[in-house]
Amino acid sequence: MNKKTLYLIYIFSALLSLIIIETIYLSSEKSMSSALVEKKMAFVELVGLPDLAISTEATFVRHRSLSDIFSIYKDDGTLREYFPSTYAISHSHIINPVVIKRDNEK
Amino acid sequence: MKSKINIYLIEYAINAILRQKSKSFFIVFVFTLLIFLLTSVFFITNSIRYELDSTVDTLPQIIVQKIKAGRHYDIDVDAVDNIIEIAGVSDAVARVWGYYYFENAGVNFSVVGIEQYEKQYKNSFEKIADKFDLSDTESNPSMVVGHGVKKTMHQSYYKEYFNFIKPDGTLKKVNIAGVFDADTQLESNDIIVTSKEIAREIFDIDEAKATDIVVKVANPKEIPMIVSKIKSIYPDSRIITSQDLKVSYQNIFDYKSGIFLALFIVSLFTFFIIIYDKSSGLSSEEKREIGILKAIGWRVDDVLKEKFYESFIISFFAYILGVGLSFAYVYIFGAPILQNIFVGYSQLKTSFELPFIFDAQTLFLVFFLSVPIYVAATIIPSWKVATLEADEVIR
Amino acid sequence: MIELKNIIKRYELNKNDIVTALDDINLKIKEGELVVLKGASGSGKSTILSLIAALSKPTSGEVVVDEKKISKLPDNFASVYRRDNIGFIFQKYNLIPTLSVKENIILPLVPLNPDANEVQEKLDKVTKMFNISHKEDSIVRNLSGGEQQRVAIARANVNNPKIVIADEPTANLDEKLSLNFIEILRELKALNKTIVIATHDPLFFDLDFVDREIQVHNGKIIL
Repeated sequence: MNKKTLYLIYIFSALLSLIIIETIYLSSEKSMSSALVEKKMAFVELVGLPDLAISTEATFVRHRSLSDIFSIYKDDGTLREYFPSTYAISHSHIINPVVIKRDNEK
Repeated sequence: MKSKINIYLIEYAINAILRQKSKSFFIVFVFTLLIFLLTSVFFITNSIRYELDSTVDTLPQIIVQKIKAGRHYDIDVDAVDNIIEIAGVSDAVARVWGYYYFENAGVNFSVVGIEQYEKQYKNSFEKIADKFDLSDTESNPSMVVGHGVKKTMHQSYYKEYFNFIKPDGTLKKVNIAGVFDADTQLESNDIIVTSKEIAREIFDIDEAKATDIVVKVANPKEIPMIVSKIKSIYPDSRIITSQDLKVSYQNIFDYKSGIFLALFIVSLFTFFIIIYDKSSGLSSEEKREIGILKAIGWRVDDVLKEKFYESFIISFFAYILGVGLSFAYVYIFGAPILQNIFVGYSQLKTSFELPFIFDAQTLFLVFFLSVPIYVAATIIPSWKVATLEADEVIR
Repeated sequence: MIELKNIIKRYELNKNDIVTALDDINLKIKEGELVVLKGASGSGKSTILSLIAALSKPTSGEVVVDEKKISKLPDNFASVYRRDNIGFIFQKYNLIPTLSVKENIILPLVPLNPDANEVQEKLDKVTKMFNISHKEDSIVRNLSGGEQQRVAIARANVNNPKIVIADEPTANLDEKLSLNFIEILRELKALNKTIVIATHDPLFFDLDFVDREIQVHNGKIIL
């Protein structure tokens, strides 16, 4: 086997082992342990509000699951809506949930 | 012929790659960048979804909001009594919460009012806050705040307490009794938890009104039925069930939304350029080389095998490099710059420490979107040349 | 052993421009013969070589080598035929300049995925025979013209072919190197290989070990 093929094999092995090491490191350090999940669940149960605090710039992004049509469509200078995070995070689609038929009532 | 892998062919392929050092380097660079970008975005969105899904089951089963003119309005607290009487409802609680805009820092806090003496809350607090003491609201109004809130207040020189500006212009001083655990940052960063009375005072919400009503149901299967009953009593209400929340979580990254559209367009564009370059035919040098190989006895299959090795080495190398870099970028360094798309202009930034999940699906998807296409784009023009008469090509 | 029967080869340059390279050629070459095809450039001698090596197909007629009709062989089989039977020395050598001498010489063997020992054996044999073993690891583009030619000859012989074909082998060489080449030819003839050379270099005329000289003019053989 010639030098070049050997180098190639070394490089590929190095890269693959890098990924494997990264994966092992990350799953032990950065993945969600059950203790962590418990804490998060306890918090959410306490507060009762959905959605993450990653972006707080607009109400229909911050608590998007609970937001109304008004907050999606209105303009307000101080609350600064319509900005970058809405490029990634879409507003909730449950603004008008299914209308309940009431023909067997009243 | 011992093993199936032809080492000589691989060596020839490596030599061919090194023969065009700058071109090969350029392709590897562009590919790696593309794969890096794609996988980074996928990793971030996957992790955010994972984070959301981890707590989705603790969310309220039914939330009742009052909608007036398309806008979320305060609901009457009396509604609680009516709702509790519906068969199947085990509990209904009126909530007071909202957004407080802190002008100095240009920041929105989410203020949530709770009944502080409920036993369940005491236990929950122990798990998630450093120190707290929400007793005695009259003489010692206090709140527990998220990490980001504490930091923001600190930066505005509010260390032990904070002055809320009430709607009538007067100040309400509230002590900071505790800070939520940093581990819950992604959920708690901008949240202030205080007693219902203080929340009512800050927002000037009457005792008879509430922001919304949370309903607990004994048998989750009965939720749709109870929802229709509530709707019939309060036709102007908007009811959000835990199922709706789950669906909403799934829709958070709408594939029609800006970021995915931009990403796919960039990818397609880059691909198109590379593949156009490759498939618009080989240079006369490359054609001659294939002709020579055929003349000295290489079959078409041998030529294609060599081209396959060449393109696979380049694209697979770029793939692994891109993915490896992406792992480190997203999970170790918190995706600087890219996170700004998700965080936006928010002044209250979280640490963007996302949970790690190994998503094989994403990795396969990106692999099949890149490597086979590049290999095909290389092999097809080579095949066209290799099937010509060798004589034509050499002369 | 090599037989060309009623060969006509036409090239279509564009719609109305058809060039007849060979016009009803009939040729027989026995095993072990050294044949020189004489003629000016464009006379069609290179085309005859291409046909023998199955590098191109005749417009009509048959090429038979060792009782096999090679003119109708499908592409892959033609390649295998070349690999196993033909050693072609091109006018421009057609070496890969960025590879080493060794890598160029073993090129015909690469698709076979041979044993490393076998490769070394074959390599040693031809590098010794053509006096290029001291430059095995040099990069081809750094070699002189004569050395490059020896590499081309070594490559053509690495698979021990029965038929050696050379197209204007001395066109780019000075007299000394041309004479060297003729000596190499003598050695190859001694190994009983069938050799066909196309040239208009007068050095090849009236050589003692040449069996036949064939004059080619305007696509026809002149006896």
